[in-house]
Amino acid sequence: MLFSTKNKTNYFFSFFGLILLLLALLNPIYAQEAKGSISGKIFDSKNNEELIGANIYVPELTRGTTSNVNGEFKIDNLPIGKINLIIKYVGYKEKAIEVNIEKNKTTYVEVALIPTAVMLSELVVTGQGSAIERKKLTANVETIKSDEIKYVPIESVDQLLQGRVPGLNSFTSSGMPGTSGRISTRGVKSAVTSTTPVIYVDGIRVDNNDAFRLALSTGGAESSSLSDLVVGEIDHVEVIKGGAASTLYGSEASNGVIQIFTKKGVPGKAKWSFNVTSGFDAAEEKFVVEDYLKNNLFQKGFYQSYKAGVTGGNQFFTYNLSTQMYENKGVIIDNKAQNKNYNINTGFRVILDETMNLEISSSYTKNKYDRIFNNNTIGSPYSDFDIGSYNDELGYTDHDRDSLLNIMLTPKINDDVDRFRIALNFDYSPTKYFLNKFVIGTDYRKNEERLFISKKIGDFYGTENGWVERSDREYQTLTLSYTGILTLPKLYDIEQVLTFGAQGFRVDDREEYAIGEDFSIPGTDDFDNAAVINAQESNRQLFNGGFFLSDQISIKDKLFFDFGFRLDGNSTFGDDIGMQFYPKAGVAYLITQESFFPDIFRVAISSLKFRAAWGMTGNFPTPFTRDRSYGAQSFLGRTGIVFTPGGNPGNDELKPEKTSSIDAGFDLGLIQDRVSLEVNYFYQLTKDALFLVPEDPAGGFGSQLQNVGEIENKGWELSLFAQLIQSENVSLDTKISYSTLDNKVISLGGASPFSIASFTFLPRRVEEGYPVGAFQVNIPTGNGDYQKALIGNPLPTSFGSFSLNLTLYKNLTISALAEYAFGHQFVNMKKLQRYFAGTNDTENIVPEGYSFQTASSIWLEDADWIKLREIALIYRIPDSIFKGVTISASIRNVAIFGVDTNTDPELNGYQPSGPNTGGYNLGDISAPRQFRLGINLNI
Amino acid sequence: MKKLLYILFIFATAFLTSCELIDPTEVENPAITEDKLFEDATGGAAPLIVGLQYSFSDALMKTITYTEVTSDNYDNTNTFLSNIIDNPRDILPNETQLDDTREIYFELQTIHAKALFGIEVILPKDANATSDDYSEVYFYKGMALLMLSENFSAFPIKEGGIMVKSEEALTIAINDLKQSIDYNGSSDNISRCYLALARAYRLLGDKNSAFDYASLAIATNSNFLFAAQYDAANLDNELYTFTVARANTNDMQPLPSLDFLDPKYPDEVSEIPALKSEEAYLILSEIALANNDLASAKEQLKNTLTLVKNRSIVEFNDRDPRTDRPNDNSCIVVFNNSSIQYSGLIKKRSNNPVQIGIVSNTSITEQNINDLANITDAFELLYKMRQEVFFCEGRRMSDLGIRLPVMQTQIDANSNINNGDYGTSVIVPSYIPFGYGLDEFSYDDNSKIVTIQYNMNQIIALNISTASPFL
Repeated sequence: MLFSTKNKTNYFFSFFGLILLLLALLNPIYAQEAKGSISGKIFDSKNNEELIGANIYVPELTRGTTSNVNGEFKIDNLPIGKINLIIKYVGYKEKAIEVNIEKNKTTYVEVALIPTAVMLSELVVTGQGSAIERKKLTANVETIKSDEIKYVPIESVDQLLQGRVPGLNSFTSSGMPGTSGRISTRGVKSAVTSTTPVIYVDGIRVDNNDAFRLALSTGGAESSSLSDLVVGEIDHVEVIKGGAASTLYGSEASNGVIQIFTKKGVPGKAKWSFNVTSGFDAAEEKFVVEDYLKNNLFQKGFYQSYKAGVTGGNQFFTYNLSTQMYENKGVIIDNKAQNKNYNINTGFRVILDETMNLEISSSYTKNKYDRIFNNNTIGSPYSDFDIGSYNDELGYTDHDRDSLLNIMLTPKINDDVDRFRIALNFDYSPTKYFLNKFVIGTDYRKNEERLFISKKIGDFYGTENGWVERSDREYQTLTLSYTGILTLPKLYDIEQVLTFGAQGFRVDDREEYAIGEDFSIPGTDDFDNAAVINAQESNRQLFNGGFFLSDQISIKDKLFFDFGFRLDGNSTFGDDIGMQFYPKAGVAYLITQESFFPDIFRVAISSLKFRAAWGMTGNFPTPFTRDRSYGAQSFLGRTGIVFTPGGNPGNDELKPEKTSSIDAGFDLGLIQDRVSLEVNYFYQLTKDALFLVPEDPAGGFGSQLQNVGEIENKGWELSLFAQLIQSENVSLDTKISYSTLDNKVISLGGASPFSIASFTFLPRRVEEGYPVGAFQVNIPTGNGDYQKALIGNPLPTSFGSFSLNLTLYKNLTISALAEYAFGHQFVNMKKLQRYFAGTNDTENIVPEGYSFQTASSIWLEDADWIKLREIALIYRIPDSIFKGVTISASIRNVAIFGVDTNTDPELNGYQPSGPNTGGYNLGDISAPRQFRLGINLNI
Repeated sequence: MKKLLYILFIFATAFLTSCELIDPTEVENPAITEDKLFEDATGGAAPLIVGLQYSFSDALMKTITYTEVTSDNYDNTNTFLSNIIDNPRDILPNETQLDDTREIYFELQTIHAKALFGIEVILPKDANATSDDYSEVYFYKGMALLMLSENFSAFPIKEGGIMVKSEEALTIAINDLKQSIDYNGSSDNISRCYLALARAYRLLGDKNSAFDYASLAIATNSNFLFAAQYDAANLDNELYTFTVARANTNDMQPLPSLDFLDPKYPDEVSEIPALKSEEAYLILSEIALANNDLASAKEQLKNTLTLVKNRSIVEFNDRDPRTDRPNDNSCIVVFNNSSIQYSGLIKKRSNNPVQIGIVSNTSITEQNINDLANITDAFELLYKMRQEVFFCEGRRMSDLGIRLPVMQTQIDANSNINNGDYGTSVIVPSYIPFGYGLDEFSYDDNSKIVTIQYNMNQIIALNISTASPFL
């Protein structure tokens, strides 16, 4: 029987039973010979955790298997006598053992593998066309493995990436639920488009947008589609940071590509896992100035999460199913920032026959959260109190403040997200030399955001009878791809893999906004109860399709070349623009494979690889900006034609921004692979950068996207992984990453310098010779005179992370992760607002004879910070006491160091669409400190 | 290999079929593209005119926000907008608020460009366009040029065009306004056009024509008001934000001598007067004074006063705390160089009802007019009356003789214009005080006396040969 009711998986039968039955009949049944067998278990020497999917094989017989969901394996029909067994697993040192096989008996072995810092044999897929061993890569691909994130409280993709990828920033932009980090790789390549890398899940492009066009304005806390990208159980994540590694993604990959692979299960009896986590969130009060706020706005927000999963299968069919629900009451009093989520995730792998297999993964997420007004919005409790508006000097008492706070907590602001994703990966390999991969799938996200100001508080918010606002967004992306992978016959010592194919995606993005005003009858927030209703919508569609070809050449398994290109067409390109060409080339040289490499060095250097790659990627323009169009403006109950807003002058020559990248560096394995060091230099030059070039104002149109600019990003990335202690009872690892970034606008192509979404008194500018978003300030020079200057940089010029992982007596693991960012500035808007409010601490801050603007440089502050992001303690209860039970305790957002100001410099309370460089902080709420205690049960 | 061919065939068929059923490459721009606009151009006049009305309301509001701060009327106390413009000599083309495509210069040019587009493209293609439609479009074209000329010394009047001095632009505006009258002779249209023409001729210093059109305006309708409309959902009156809602970061405060006039727009959809009969009387008065005819001038000032008193006064509960400002009915206002004490100009706020004139208001009394003994004093009173009557209507900066430069984008995006050309620098008459002098005052909380540093109306009167276009 393929499925038994005992393991609760019979309900899959209706979906796949028929297919599997058919396949089972088609497959040959191996003859049984009475010889001997071997069985065993593979586990991690560090913590005794079973290793799932390890390769175990007998080289003499060219036979092998993989360890199952419990780390167990069995090989039958082995000849009597001594045989060699080799066990391999990515991230661990290969191990060979000799085993004696006895007639008609099963010999049992337990094998502990030792972790390694160097992973030359790890397979990488993203951006390569086909799976390729890490040692053959000519440009870096970063990987995050599931065990790195297994027990830390991560709820979104941006948190997953924080501090784990050299050269990638994922900075928290707000502590409000539903928001997401500002993610960027290797700087800002565009002055008009987002910096967020493209995200794929199991080959399917997913929604990665934020700053939705018609989102409700609740004070800078922009909802983000990354905050609800729950993908179930992550197997691993691959990150490519633009450049040659992303060339095969063509016109969408300048910011890099993040690909998440989900678990599809491994053969074995059904293995169930349960997790119960509870805890609480506590507000970060380091940046709260006013005591009233500390005492009255916050609460300890209770958190509870329940997860269940099952994985298993047989040699033809494996599955991995999981579901989770969690509730976070949030740190704002009366649960005004609560978040509820449930999700269901499935992953299947079906071996149809010896030539075909199919992988299906899907996920459904329901995410609901509430918010309060934020930043400098009228009625934002966090900001309004903390900027000193209601201070004692103005005669406000706590009684007044209580009533004001009550009003500010009355608006209902909530968001409801439904998201569904499905990916089908079908592989067909008619011969072992030719693999065909077909991928089809979609990601669909729908959210409804509502804001209701009731009649009761309407007066405070400037309207007598209140209003309701609703913003809906419906986003669907469809991905289709075919990849052919041809392994060419080995010619002398040259191996070659030719990859070719086509990939396309389509995006349908619809947003609607409505406002209903005048709720003169107390009641619900239903639009039907409003006297006046106005609505608007914004629709976008785009298609991108291209062909690619890549050739990977391996000479004697030590010298590697790769060449390739992608040809792309896109519906956002102008009429006069044809297919776009993106070439790449790279070389890697594993010098330690050479016989001439001195043995004396081998004592210390276990592997050394030099690599260099050049490649081009693109970033397509905003849909429909190629067309000349006019805006339709509703006004006084009629519709008018306008040039702005909504109009666009048009550009038939609109094309993607193109970034050429050079990556060069070396990967070093030291002290028997206990230490790995990766050093990388990158230089990226974006040509044809899209700037919103101002038109002649006498023409009435504002500006037009044109390919005129040049932006440069360069820097170093260092990554060190060291296994400091590897003894029987103590294991200590550390990971250190350090990155630098030098961002500069090289040319404006004759266009006027311009501001990117800014405050008029202190704008962020795009000007030649300065970083994108440099601050235009006035520096006081005495006697009321001042000098206008461009200074500072909203982007950190150096950043990185540091982590430690200590395991004691195999059962207890303590880990910590810290992150830092230096060399950047931000505008302390909170200080300015406190000055406006006349607080004591800002009394003499503006020099005599100056105004807040003529001395605007005083609001610019260093944004350097060091944050201890996570501390986790994991205890695996010995099997002799309780089998399969792990207890985890963790704290996220533990502590902040090196910040001496009244606002959290990492946040960015002002999130425009376009390059989200940061640089303004109006006094947003910081990410809360999250305390979690979890119990994991695996049976 | 057979299997491969079979699978490829199935996929190719599925792909081709799906392409036909749901073509993933097909996209449709939901915006009004040029093709769609011209495909069925009949009826295009109506949305064109609504668009012009929208732009006019927007541009008038932006003109007020900018020029009231630049003048002595308002101080940018606490806003994230520019407060450099409180000191007009510091205004450069790249001043951040001026060089913004949502602000005064750009918005005024937008009206003109759109009207030109209407006359040259939309109306000729609309078979149903009426002469009223043409009249409306010419009116807004004329108003755009008039408002540009009132606030800027030179500017191009077409894309890529050369700089045109305001005098020349005014003659084009006059022609447009006359065309508007030719297309539509209704009373309301000619009233507003006559008032606009009187203003245009005043700016040109053409006493005769200004007199004629001011007189015609009064004769047609002596109680006329043409105001820009606002719409809470699509375009609210931002003066409400800065002078009523205020809050911590949106606070503009009036010069204390004008306190009684603030706020003028108590609601977010309060209309803003653009052309009103008061202007005709005030022009006639100024012409009389320019002709040394004090008696006629007094008569016209009294006529203005009568009209002002007939305008709507509403009660408004002002919650503004007036932080760091005088906030008491007993406050006395004096000017630095004068012993005359003015009472009743400052009103108690902070949850106190105040009476505000939403069209016009003034502190000047008939007795003040009767007391006028010489031309200079009369000019001082006239400009004070203009300041009060046109308060928060975007007229004061021009009366002070200040003209703004074009925005930097205009210089950068037009090869016919270079930095340094006429029109690219701010013009500030020498009699305007340096620094932030226009907004300077001191307040003694004990004596409740507010001392305004500069009596700008007196200064204007003393420099009237420069300040008045008629001299």
